[in-house]
Amino acid sequence: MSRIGIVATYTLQEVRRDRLFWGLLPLILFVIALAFFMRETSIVAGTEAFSRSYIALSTLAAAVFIVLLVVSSMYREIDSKAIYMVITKPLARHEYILGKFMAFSLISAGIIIIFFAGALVLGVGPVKPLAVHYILCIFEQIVMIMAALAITLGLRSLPSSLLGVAGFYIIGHSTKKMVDIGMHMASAWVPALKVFYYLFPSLSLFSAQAAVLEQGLVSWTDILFPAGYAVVYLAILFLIIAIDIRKRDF
Amino acid sequence: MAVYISSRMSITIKRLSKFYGKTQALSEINLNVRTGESVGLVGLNGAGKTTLLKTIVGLIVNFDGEVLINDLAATEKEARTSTSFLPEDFSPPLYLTGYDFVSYMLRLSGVSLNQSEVDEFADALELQVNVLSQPIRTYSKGMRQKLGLLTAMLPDTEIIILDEPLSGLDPGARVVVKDALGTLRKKGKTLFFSSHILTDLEEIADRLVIIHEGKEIFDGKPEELRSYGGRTLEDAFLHVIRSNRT
Repeated sequence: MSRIGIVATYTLQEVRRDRLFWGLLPLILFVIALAFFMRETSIVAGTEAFSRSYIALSTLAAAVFIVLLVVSSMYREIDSKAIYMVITKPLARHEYILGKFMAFSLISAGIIIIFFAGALVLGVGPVKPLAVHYILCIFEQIVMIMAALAITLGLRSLPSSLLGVAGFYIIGHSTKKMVDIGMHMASAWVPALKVFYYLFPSLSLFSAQAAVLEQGLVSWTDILFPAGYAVVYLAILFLIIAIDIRKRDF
Repeated sequence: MAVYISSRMSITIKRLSKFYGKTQALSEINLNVRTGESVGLVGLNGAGKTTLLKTIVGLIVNFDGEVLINDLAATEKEARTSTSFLPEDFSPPLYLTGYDFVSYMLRLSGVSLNQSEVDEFADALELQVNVLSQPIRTYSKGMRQKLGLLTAMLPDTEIIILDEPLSGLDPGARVVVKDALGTLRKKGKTLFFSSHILTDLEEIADRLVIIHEGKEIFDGKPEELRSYGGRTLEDAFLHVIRSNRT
């Protein structure tokens, strides 16, 4: 097994016994149970409102879950100096980052699969648009994981890292609205605004909520374009971390 | 049993300087450690001991000068195939078991876990074997330190670098760890370690290096340090420090 795989394996092993992980798992069940309760008690009026609530809640809960897990695990490793033991072994520092990324991406995929299964059981929408939505959700999560790794390694402080990643998430979900407003107010700025849109994390790209709600058709481009964007964004983030960590004193 | 010290250099440091902002942590350090030699690094708090050790193991990469491990730059990952490191005040990942952590570190060093060998080393460090199956969060500070030492000793690397390996250990555990280090020394391992406790160093080290305010001010055998006067090695150490105070 490669050293990246070894780091990933033991990260998964650690997370499996982490109290935070088991403390956060009920969050997922709570979201699913809450959605069920909302549907049964007609707290939300109509199927569309119910579906909208489930999708929004599940996306947010998945992001909170993975961000808390990544930031706390990385911070603990830095604070306890366990990271010193690992990176003084014959592995490149970027291999360590890739190992961590791989482990947290697998956990994230697991969480999303649970939410997807919950959506199917609760009849949130048609299978195909739902599948596309949750695949896009995985892309959003892996961008968030890489950002959380970069921010935690950079700031090395638990509260600052949590705030930093929260800021990344909020900005990521606000850029589209900000750009829409900007386009409306100053059409001459459209090219610059588009650069802003793609340069900042455009996390709203990773959603097929409209297709789920309208029970509409989904095409390959609904997945391929955001996937391509996620890959490019990940590559840039990874390059930044790899350069930074290589030149960083511990 | 005689300790064989080769003429080959395991660690070569040439004109090493390190700044943290405007503060100079290390100034023009020149130091060689031969294969099989046991060198103790001494200094007051903030003298630059940890910075020096971190530079040797590649944790610090921004410095002036040259640091070589078996003729390879310390910043290269290939250089780390021959070193093991134990940081000061270190705690292994809390949710892994002792065996998991040992296996993790060994696999990163390219070695697979040999349970009987682990148990044998653990026994030598008086770390109960049944404890290794438990999560590290249940360990005391001394047990965590011993586990760190175990993972530093097990990969059979040529050079073992330890930052304050005896800190936080009770007198009984200190004796056990010193015995384990003595065994490594007899096996021909190159040991480079820091400590505040000079009497402990005297027992394990062939050579002492004193650094003060980032400068190397003494490099010689413990007997040579004693010749600086005073009743104890601590007195001699303080004498050297005071005579070099800037």
